[in-house]
Amino acid sequence: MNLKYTERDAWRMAHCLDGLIDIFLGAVFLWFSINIFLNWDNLGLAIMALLVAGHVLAKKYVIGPRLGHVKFGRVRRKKVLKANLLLFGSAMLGGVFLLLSKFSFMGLPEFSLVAVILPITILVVLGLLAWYTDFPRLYLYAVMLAISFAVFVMIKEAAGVRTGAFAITATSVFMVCVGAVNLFLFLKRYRTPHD
Amino acid sequence: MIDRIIHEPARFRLMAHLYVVESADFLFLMRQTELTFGNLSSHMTKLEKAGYVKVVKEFMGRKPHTMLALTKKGKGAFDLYRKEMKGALELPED
Repeated sequence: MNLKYTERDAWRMAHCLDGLIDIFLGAVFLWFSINIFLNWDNLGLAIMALLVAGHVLAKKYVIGPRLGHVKFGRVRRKKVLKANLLLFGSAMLGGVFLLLSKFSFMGLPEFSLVAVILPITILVVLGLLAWYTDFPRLYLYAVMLAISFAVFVMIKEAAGVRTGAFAITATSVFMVCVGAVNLFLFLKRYRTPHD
Repeated sequence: MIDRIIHEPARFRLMAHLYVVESADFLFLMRQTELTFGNLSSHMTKLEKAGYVKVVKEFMGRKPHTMLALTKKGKGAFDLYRKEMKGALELPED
């Protein structure tokens, strides 16, 4: 028995096994791609709040009673803090990036800048997040999202924004499906104690 | 001398799982160790009697909730057990 793996397995069981995080992340990117088609910008915050609330409630009322509760130690809490700082930093970086993408930067046209920086940022941020949260599926999502955003930026000029957005839609639907399968298997395996 | 209380496989698993987290409730330990309710309960009683595990009562929202955690004595006993087992399994030097 390896204590390091025991802690990691407990963490994964508590946070990754149920597939809710896959569904949440997939839904966030799905909303992003749907928004490209529909241009419902003013609904953005409400949709995000709905997704976060749905995730929190499902965790509390569906997963909690089936899995129980656990509090992790100092080392794990440090890792979570690092992941949160990374998310905050990437949100800041996203803001800067958005500003830069509006202008030509260092002589590069807007298209090249976005096509290169955006996928790399997604890959690095999600890759680091996967590392800090011990969530292996996130590495795959990082690669898939980086590729789909690169495809989106590259073909949106030639084929139009909507055609380009299909790559992101496909990836996010894949994430939601993986999450749904994991959730189904979780609910099948772990029933509430009084069932 | 190997600690007989920890040496029993089910109790060893319980101690190991509680050693790597701060605290966990009964259900989470059941899921992690795949022990039945009765089994877990009887082993927990033995660990509690030995002073290795403590019951922490807390509130989750408005509902009272029972969490289990290793005591300082329990952590020390598990550290010692690990050390002794490592020593017991060591090969003699040439």
